Amino acid sequence: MTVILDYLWLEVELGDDPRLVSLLQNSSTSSLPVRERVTIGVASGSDGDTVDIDGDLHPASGTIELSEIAYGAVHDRVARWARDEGWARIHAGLADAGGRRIMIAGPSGVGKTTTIVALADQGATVLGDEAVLVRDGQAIALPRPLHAKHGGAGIDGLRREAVLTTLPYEDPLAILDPAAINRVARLEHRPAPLDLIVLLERSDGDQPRVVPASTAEAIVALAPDAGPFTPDRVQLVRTVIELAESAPVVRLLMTTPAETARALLEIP
Amino acid sequence: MTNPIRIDGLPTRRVSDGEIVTTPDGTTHYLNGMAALIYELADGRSVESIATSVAAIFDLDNEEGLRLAVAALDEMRAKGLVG
Repeated sequence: MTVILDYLWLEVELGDDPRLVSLLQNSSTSSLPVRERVTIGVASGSDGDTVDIDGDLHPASGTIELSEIAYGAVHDRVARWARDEGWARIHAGLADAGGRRIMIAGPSGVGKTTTIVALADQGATVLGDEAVLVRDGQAIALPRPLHAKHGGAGIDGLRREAVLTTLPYEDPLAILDPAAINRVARLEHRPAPLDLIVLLERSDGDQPRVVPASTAEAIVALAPDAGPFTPDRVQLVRTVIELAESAPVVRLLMTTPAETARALLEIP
Repeated sequence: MTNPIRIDGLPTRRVSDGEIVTTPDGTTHYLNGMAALIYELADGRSVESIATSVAAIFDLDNEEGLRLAVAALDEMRAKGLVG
């Protein structure tokens, strides 16, 4: 049995290896036109696994390598279409809280995924935790499964059915099904304006704190990480400025994920 | 050098590859993409902080980022765009 994934501009046909489905399952649809079809399969032999991407064979020595090859095949193509169509890739998550689209950015490891899962626990719909593509003041999340560092240990009450698989890195990575986290069958991804941009920061305080942020702060927080995916840096800066001027920007000094999510939902 | 800050109230207009700023004497000043970024970041933060961001965004080493930021800000001060 094959599984068809709708990954923005890609239609991905996955072979029936359960690891592939666990790694790439996203239960989502996209309103963007399909530009490319990709077929990914796995053949297992005595020498290990071989990942077959449209007939090109890539040996994989274990689940981590298999995941990196499969992710790479999908995300490199998505990144190429995004670039070709003028989208900048921002390192951030995206959630819909009662119709408000909230982009949540922050450095790697700050707690984006745990905060986003806590948001879903409080009724928001999580659309992505890693990358948001932006253009002309519109944003769309990269519809991949969520990645939680430390095997998801920082996520209170994480339900077993939400964990698609755990990659055995030195610091294990839990791959979470956004549909299960959101308790929905299918997520719809479409470009639309943002209502709030949140720059997450670690805090030593005992209460989350929300501080208005300027366009300059948004540039400093968002543009450097986006550089490697957006060769035209002048256009990147312009895109970030347009985005920051299209919605309020705040810095959120975070505490626990649940408190941070509550504070986030209370931002007017 | 004191921390640079954009002069309040100057009319600005974005163009495809940068920004145009008009000073009170009616002179228009064209800022290319990098200069427009430096101008946007001149909000009272230090020159070093601006330079670090410029280097990170344009993939330059920090020394080159600082050289470009200092040169651009010197010129913007001379033209009355930043104080």
